Amino acid sequence: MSDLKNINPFRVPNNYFNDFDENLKGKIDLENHKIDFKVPENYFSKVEAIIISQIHFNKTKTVPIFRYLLGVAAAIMGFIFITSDTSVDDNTETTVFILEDYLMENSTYEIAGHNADYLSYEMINMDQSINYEDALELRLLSETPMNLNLFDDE
Amino acid sequence: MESQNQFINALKNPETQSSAFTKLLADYKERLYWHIRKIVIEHDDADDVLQNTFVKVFQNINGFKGNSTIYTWMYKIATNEALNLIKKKSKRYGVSNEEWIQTKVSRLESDSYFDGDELSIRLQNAVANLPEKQRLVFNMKYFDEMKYDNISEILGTSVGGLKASYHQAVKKIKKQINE
Repeated sequence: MSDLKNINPFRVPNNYFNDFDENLKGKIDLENHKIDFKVPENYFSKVEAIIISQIHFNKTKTVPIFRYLLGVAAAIMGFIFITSDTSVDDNTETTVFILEDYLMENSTYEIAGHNADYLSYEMINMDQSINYEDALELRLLSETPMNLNLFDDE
Repeated sequence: MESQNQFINALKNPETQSSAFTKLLADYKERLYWHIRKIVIEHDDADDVLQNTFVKVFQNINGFKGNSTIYTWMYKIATNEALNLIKKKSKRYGVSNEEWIQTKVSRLESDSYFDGDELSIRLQNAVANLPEKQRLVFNMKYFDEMKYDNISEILGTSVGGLKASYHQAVKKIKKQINE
């Protein structure tokens, strides 16, 4: 009986243990699952043209520091002006919502780059709003030191 | 390295940047797209992030010092853009980043741009349940088969830390898949 203890009656297919890792990996394989995600037809050829249309070659967009500061100051002044108005009517409320959304959706660099007509356009297209404290908090979150170093390749 | 420097110079030079940028787009759009898509899950979000990534690459190419490859630099921008999109959207809908991703994954079955089987959905669910850092490391290592050195440059984490994260991620995923 003691000899039987050392005999294993069970068998596995040839190379089962050698192939196990590969077989398992094959079940959740990179190539198999990368193609689970699909894109619309001709997406990659169309997206090139879309991106190119958003870029102005030979005119790299740089925002001078005074323009940047001016933009930030204008946004803050506009915000103070609206929120300090004690006779808040529907229009003012809507404007505040638009400003909140505008602050949330755009970086300070983008705000500095916009002209005066931009907000009018936003008013027409406004369909959602968010609390301005959330908008400002979000701004702070999206301008954490990590993100400020976003383009630093060091 | 020399050819990269020449290419970077071409991207910075107003005379040649248009053609250089077109080449950059042709070379990297798909690789970046799939990296982004695995982070944000839905095609429309991936499309937004991909476009923003290339626009930012163009706007900031003059600040690129060439200390890393342009590929890892773009990956870094794409990763941050994708994470920022998740932050923005989850904030807007009043849910956590993790909940946002889990909701997206739960809709995969009815997503017309996803045709994975049940196992694939289970894998995506398991990946979605990982903490953000582990999720990124797992995607880059397992799906994109990137080297730890490159992932380290992109995520700003030590190689040792990445190996630990990946090990933890694999353990959790195996456990969840086998449940």
